[in-house]
Parts: sequence; C-alpha cells; structure tokens
Amino acid sequence: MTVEDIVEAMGELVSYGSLFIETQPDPWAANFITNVANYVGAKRPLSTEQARIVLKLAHRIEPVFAEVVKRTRYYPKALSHAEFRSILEAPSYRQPTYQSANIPKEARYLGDNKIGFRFKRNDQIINDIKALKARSGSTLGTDPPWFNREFRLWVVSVSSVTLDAIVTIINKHRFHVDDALIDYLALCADSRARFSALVYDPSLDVMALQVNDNSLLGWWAKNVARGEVM
Amino acid sequence: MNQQFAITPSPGLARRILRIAEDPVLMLTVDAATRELAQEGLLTPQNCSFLTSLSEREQQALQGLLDCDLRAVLPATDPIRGRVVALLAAKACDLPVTVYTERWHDWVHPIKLAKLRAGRKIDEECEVLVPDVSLIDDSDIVKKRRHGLLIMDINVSLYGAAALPYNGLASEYARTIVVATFDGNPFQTKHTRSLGLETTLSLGTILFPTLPQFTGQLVEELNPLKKKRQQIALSTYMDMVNVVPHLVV
Repeated sequence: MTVEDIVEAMGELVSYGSLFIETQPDPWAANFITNVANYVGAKRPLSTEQARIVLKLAHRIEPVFAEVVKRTRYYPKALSHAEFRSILEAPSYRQPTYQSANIPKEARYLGDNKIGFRFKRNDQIINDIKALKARSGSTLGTDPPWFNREFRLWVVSVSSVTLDAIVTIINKHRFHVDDALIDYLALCADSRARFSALVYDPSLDVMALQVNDNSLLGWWAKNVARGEVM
Repeated sequence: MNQQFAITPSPGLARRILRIAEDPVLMLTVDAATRELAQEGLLTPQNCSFLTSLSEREQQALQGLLDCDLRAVLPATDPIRGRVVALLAAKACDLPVTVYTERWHDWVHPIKLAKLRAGRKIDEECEVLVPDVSLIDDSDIVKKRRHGLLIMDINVSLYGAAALPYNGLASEYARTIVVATFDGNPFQTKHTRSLGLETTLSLGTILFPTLPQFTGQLVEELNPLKKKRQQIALSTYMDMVNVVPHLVV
C-alpha cells in the first residue's frame, strides 16, 4: 500500500460528501484532495509538497478514519484502519515524488510599462489578471495581459485605465514587490493627466522626451522618431 | 504610461514635434531650444536651386518630406505635381530613385519636369529607375537601389484601404515616399478628395508596420469626438504617421 492509495481513498470519501464536508468540514482540504486525487488518477507522480500536505491531512483524519469509512455506505476500496496507519508510519510511493518548484509570489517592473506577475498556479489570480483585458482594450497601444511560457510569468501593460486594478491585484493577493516597482507605480500615479515634455540639450546633442500617460505619443517616440527608451 | 526617451535631434524632427504639440489634446510641452532648432536647415533658394520653380504649397510639401527623412505619405490632388515634388525630394538629397508604379507613362512627364534621367532596366545609367511592376521586388534591384529612395505610386481611388500588400517593399527601403493619388474616380470632385481615417492608417501602415495593432482602437477613440475636434485629431494622427495632409500638393 502506498500514499497514493490514501489519496484515492480520501478522494472517494470527499466525493461521497463524507470527508471534509460532513466530518471535519474544510473546503480547502476537500478541494486539495480532489485535485490531487485527479493527478494520481492520471498516473502522475506527487510532488514533495503535495505528499507532505497529504500526509499531514491523513494524520489529522486518522482517529476518525474508520468511522468515516463505516458511515460511507458506497465506499468500494476501503482501506483497513491498520493499513492506513501502517502507510502513515512508513510512507512509500507508487512513483517517486519530484521536488516541488519554489515559485516566489512576486510582481516586478519589466520596463516599457510592463509588469510581470510570477506565482504558483492560482485560478483566482489568473482571473483577476485576465479581467484587465477589458480595460486594456480601450487604450491605444496597450497589449492585453499574456502569459510568457518561457519565463513562466504573466505580463500586464500599465496604462491609466489598468493602474488601479494592478495595484488592487498586488495588494489583494499580497504579491512581494521590490523598491523599483514601488517607485515606478508611484511615478505612474503621479503622471496621470500631466503634460508630457520635450527638452533639447544642444551640449549633449540629445532630445529628452518625458511621456506621461500618453500611449500614442510613446508609440510615436519609439517607432517614428526612433527614440531609445531610457 | 510613464516613459523617457532619448531622441537624436534634427531640425526636421523639431518641426514635426512642434506640429504635433499644436494639438492640445496630446498635452505636450516643447522647450525654447527645440523651437530654435526648428528654425534651422530650412530649404532656401540659396541651398536649393529649383525651389523657386515650385509653388508655395509645393515648397511646403517638399520641406515636409525632407523633415520626415523621406519616409512619408504625400497625398497629391494633382498627380503630376505630386510626382514632381517626390522626385525633387530625392534630387535635393542627391539620391537615386526607384519608382513602384503600374503606370509607367504617367511618370514620363514628371521625370522630365524634375530634369532627371529615367531608365527601365537595372543596368541602365539613370537617376530614376522605373522597372516593370513584376520586377520591383527583384533581389538585384533591391540590393543595388535600397540606399536610395523608393517612391510608391498608389491610386487611393482604386485601392483605398486595401494598400497593405506593399508593406514588405517599404521595409526594404529606409527612405520611402508613398504618392497617394485620387485619379480615375469620376465621383470625386477636387473638393472631396481627401484621405479618410482608415485609408490614412492603411497608408501609414506601409511605413510603420506596428500601426495596425491599434488601428481599430484608434478609430474607436476618434469616433465619439465631435466633428471639429475629430478633424484636428485626425490631422495630428496624420502628422504622427508621417502623412502630410495640410501639405497636399
């Protein structure tokens, strides 16, 4: 018997509404076990982190396991309480576990008015980021959010219409931010509805263009005037 | 939303920036040094011998083309004079010209008026090469002529907003002038000959391929504006994509 057998057993108990719903109600645990049971059903190995949490939950339900099984009338693959305890004492796996990736939850300024969001898959955050698309669509030159597969991060464009929503996502989901991003966001908030300015310095032979809250002028400076982003 | 750019200055660029900054909606301030720079390098009869042979509007159009570093769209209500101005822009910079046209005979007279020598084959000694339309993207021609000016002759009445197939050619030549003519449409009077927003953007796309990314949004943003405001905005956008609407020849 293996930890995967415990996962399958717990998954079935959850699906019958007995474990983590009727007994020891815990929606997060019910959702987690359902997801992991699906992974195991698809013959995928557990990560070290998934295995750690599964064992922690199994230890939690161990005292009531026999009772839950008894009460679940249509439980087909019942593990005996003794088997359950023996797996917890000496866990073994059908497939070797793989090392969990340590993905930091962070937001960073990428340059060119783009912010990158990196996080472990979380549908709620993804939906919030995707919701920025509706706002971006009405602003010139602002790309909708997109996922960079190579670097595994979501890239969002900052404009006057997306700025507030981006700050909300950062605060709501508690993203770690560095000083560079804080400075940039403060600058953006400060540049709202302000004039852009062009200054020519003959001694350096350069024109410096500060573009504030104007994506069209930014496009022009980059593509038509061949300006270099500083 | 908040960007800083370093731009290589030139008097022509300073003049373009001043024109763009005239539109208050863009909220752009320009310093006095840039205004001073904009006064430099203007065409005069002293530095351009053929300038006096042009009308005032033609002189402005020629200056506009040079300010755009010969990468511009020139809407021409008078096709012959428009072609002459485009050719003279190359002459002012002493550059060889390659003309993309489906109407070779329409170019014979303008080339004569510009006092340039024309040829139809790559080996010919000539200042203006007008190859057969099927050979325009021939790699030999592109290799030998890409340092010069490409003039694309596009009849807007025929092609309208469907001018996109020429995109690739303009990216081969850094200096490209699109002469947009309106001939051949009996329903257009001289007064109604002007570029609409979508045609302007299609022509602008030939020069700046990234433009289509927000073409639809641009149309959407302009539509709710009142008519007068919309005309000013359109004129500004035309300036921004190097279309010179107020300099129509």
